[in-house]
Amino acid sequence: MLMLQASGQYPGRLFVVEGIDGSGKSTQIRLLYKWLLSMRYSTFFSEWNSSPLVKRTTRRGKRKHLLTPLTFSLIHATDFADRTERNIIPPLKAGAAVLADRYIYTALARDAARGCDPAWIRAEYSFAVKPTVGFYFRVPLEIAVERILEGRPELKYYEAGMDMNLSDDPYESFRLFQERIVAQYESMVDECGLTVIDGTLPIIEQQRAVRQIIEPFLDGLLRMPEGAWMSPLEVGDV
Amino acid sequence: MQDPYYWVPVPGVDIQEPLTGKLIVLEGTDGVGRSTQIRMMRNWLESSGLPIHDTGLRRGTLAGRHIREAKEGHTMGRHTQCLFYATDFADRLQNEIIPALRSGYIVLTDRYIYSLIARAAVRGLDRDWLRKLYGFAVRPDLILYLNTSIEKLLPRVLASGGFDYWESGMDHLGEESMYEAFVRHQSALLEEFEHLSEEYGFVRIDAGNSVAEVFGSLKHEVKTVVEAMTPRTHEFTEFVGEIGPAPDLEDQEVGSMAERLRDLLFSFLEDR
Repeated sequence: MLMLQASGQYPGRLFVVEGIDGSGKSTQIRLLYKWLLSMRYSTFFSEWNSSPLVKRTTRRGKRKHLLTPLTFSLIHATDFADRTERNIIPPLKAGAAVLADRYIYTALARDAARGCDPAWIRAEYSFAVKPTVGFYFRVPLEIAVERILEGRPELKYYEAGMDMNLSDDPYESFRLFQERIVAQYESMVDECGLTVIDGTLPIIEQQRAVRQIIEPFLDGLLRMPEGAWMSPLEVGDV
Repeated sequence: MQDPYYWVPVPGVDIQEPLTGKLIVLEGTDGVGRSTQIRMMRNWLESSGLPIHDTGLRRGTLAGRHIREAKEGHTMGRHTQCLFYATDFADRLQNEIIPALRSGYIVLTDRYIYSLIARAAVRGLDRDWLRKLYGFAVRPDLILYLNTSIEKLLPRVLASGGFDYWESGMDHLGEESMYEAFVRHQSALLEEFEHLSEEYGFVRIDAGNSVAEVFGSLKHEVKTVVEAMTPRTHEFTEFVGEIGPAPDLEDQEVGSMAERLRDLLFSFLEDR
């Protein structure tokens, strides 16, 4: 059972999107970001592998294939801790909306797929703040794999799950790895209270659903003063 | 048989494959004399014919260097710091400690998860979380705890280059000077070690005694663990440096070294 730090202790709100590559979650969170800014909410955007401190170790480990399932899990948890201590808790304390493209559920799914003990991974990440809403973008595996593989033929070693010796063919390995990850996500929907969005729906409809779910939580969040309003068209890309 | 791991096995490591070596941990706070004792212990065991692998914190190939660099910048939060150390530890456990234990080495480690847990606990991290996080660690055959008091620690620290930013806990205490911080931080660490000692079954050795006395106590404990491993039972060498029952292969080399020394001594005498 996953136990996290209560988000209610902070005045801010944390919204996260999860799902396998190609599920469309990044598109959705980008649209959400622009919407919140357009309403002058102080909004902070956070991604995985964003911590400059741990980046070099992770990159080195990946390039030289030094990582085992255990160290892969721990180095990503280190990065996540840095992200939590730097980019998530401070803006939440300030009362901002914090958006995260992938959160601990990515790690829980990926590390379990690599063979780490599920109870241990849940303990490892129990310092994380529980999201106000955690969206899971559900898409059939074949659709997601198709979306990924058509745009980017070169798969990286760990991304394709080549370290698990599922198959010598990177594409086949990727597919088998993603299949395991999807099974993990599905088992977490109830356990972790994720909100499922049908990722096969048109983008606009998904976004409408996301906004509807989030709206009730926005009351009381920190807002930029009237004069400081910034057009969403002027905001840089995330 | 006792479970070789505290809680969960390392993923991908076959738990059925026996660890034929022995894992011996030397724990204790900063400046208590661990590295001197480890050096002597290594000499003693090797001269008794036992294969030794010695290791310590932050020596991993994956993250060791980056932790040292990050410490210089003092830029880590407490969870980040703790997990970075855990990564380095896991890297060494899997790539160094477990393979050495499989090959029948005595692994002597300068600190283990207990120091990592104690440091994180005094920085306010949850003890239960720490215990679970390090649940993949191999259970040592012997945990030797060099125990001392702050009063006895201070002169040693001053003699070995003075106070260190991290060892004084300057990152979390906000004390005025490193002296106050050091005393508070190390006292908290000692208290933490007391809890750990009970929980994990440390063998306490009074580090306030002389180096030779401490070494004598350590040898006594280590002997009970490695006795069955000695090439010729009970033939431990008596003191550091003595050439014990070395494997036959090395006899030739030992002989030639002795010859060279004798030659050197003769030439020296002749010169006079």
